[in-house]
Amino acid sequence: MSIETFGLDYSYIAFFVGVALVIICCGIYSLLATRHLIRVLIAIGLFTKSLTLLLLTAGWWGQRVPYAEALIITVIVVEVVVMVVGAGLALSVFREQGDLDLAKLKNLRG
Amino acid sequence: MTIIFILLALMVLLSIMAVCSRNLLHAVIALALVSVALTVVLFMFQAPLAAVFELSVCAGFITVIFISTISLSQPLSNEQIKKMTQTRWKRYIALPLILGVIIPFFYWKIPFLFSQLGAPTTPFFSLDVKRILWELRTNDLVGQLLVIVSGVLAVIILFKESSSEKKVKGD
Repeated sequence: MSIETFGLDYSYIAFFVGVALVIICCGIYSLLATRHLIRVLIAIGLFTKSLTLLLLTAGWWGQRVPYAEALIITVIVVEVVVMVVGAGLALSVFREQGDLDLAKLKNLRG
Repeated sequence: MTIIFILLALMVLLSIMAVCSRNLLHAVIALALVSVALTVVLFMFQAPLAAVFELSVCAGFITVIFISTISLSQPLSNEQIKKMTQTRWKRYIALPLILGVIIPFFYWKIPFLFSQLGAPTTPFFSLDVKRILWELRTNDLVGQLLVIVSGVLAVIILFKESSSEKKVKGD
């Protein structure tokens, strides 16, 4: 079942890009409005989702979906490493100061 | 066609829920559901390998990582959550402004811009994704390997006990 059977044509590209932009806006809002370290990681996760959608849209428009798929796999691998290291940082910060509030991260020891 | 629109609308709603939810666990589950919706979209666009990666890694593994991190760190009390939520809503009202103003403007102007893009280009090549990854994007694979190795090293270093902590535990 290909995408053409769903009756989509290339005039819907604006819709896909719009949805990706909305998700980016949600991520930016979360970064601006939160001080919690895990919510920052959730915002980064949302950025990656929108990037995946934009890559897919570009691949679909240029008729290079396998190429976009290869790039999406690369993005997913990088995302998972960032999330794991971020979670490790969060646990390390919690061990040091007992809180995940970013505003309290003021001590930078050499 | 309706299915695609429903999935994309679901992604938007779940993203808003992931950002605005007071409960951290609900936010993480909403993020996982965004991944699930994106997986279905990837399958419909005939990108099964990326869809499987998205489902297993982003919706599965990353959700487990988040839930483990949340459970290992002390949860906030209800008073702390209430205080942080009030501060968040008072200080930032950007999201309704962004969604209510910029998005209608975008849909008013952008279709005109997209109609100027012209017909899609002809396919440059017709390889499948496995050959593209192994033959054309080999450098990407090397980069992924380096990123994974550096991530593993970072986690090991983060959780490594210092010698002074070992001495204290030994006493």
